[in-house]
Amino acid sequence: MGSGGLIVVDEDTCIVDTAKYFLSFTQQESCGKCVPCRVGTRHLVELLDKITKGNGELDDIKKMERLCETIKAGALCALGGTAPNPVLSALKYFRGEFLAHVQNKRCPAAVCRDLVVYRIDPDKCTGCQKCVEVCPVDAISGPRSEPHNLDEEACIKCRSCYEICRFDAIAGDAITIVPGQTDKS
Amino acid sequence: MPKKPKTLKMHFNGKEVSFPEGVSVLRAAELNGIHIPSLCSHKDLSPFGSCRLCMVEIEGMRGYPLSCDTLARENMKVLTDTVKLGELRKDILQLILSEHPFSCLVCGEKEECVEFQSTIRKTGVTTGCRYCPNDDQCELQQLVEDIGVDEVEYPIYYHGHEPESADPFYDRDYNICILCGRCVRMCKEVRGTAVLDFTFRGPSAKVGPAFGRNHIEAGCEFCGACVDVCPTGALADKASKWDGKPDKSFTSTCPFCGIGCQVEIDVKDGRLSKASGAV
Repeated sequence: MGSGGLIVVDEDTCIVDTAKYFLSFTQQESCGKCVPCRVGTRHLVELLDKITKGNGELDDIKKMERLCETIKAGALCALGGTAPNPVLSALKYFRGEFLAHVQNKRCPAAVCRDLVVYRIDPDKCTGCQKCVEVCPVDAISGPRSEPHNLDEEACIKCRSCYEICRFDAIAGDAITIVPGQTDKS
Repeated sequence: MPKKPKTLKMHFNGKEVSFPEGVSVLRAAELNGIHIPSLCSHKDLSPFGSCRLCMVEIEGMRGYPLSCDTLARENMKVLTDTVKLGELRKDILQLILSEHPFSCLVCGEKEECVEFQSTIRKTGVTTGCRYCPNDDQCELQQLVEDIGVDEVEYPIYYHGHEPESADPFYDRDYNICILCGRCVRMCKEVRGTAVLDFTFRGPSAKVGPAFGRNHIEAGCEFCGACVDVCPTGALADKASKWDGKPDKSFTSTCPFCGIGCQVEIDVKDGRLSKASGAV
């Protein structure tokens, strides 16, 4: 990933999001002297951001590849020269995941917030009301000791319910984040 | 008497040319009438390498070295105009334009627009070439013509800097600055004042005096050298800002003191429009 470091991630990590993370880092580190690094990395981050938000088009992948080549060939120092590597490696080995984001508007790792839905498994939910308490927008409702309902329209995907459900013994891991159909698809 | 530099030979695009020892590849090309596009290089300033447009291919060298900071050597074989270089330059110029108002540069009506230039031009904020004091005299504009960019595929990033016009002599609009660093080098290397420098970094980089001081506090003498070397309309002197392209220019001698420096006099509509140092 760029600097030659090796990172082990499982299928819960979205490769587009990871590439965006690396690119935002190099973009912040850019000194701003040469054009390909100063402006090019900024456009790369924007394109990756567009894809993670589910607005990506097939053309954006081609555009990214060309931009990566320009930055690599044109940048003044090694920071700019290696900055596009995470995107190039990700596109080389995980192109399918990019295509899933762009074509199916789906994040296979269920990471990209705009491309997932939160679900409550009625079989697992004990109705402990922990999630009802933490939900900042009152999207979860239901009486105590009965499986709760999650209003997908109201949900802002803040992850609070998922976190508390996952680590609380009473709640018992009933809330899952699934790559789902969104209004954008 | 300084020793005359040795004359050496090299190849540009397969053609053998001669050049004096100690010059850059870009200068050697210039001396032989070969045009290599560039925005940040200037013959009186040290090479900087920020615009990345003067890249060439040199036999035996990796990647795309910059012609402005590569010393020309005996028997060097340089290619200045390959397909790959053309693509790279086009892409880099698009990146430059995505940070600079470009609407007039890629507009389909630009030929017809000339006759309407009498409409609103003196705008506070430059949104295109027709609203820029440097229209028709701009190096970036010229380069877009030369390289042939007719669309910019990237979204526009407008810096959102406030145009600065509080100082007595110059107006500055860093929204149209391309950060080529000519003014910074001019101030540091030729004038020796170092009032201007790059402030902030990355996408927020901006030229200006350090620590947010204004030009007067920072010790600016308002010599005008930065305005003269600016390739865009980011720096403009108030007196001749909206005069447009001069009708004619000639060199004269400054009568201000006994040294008698050469000055370049611009004339517009039968009136002296601008005097700048002849460089």
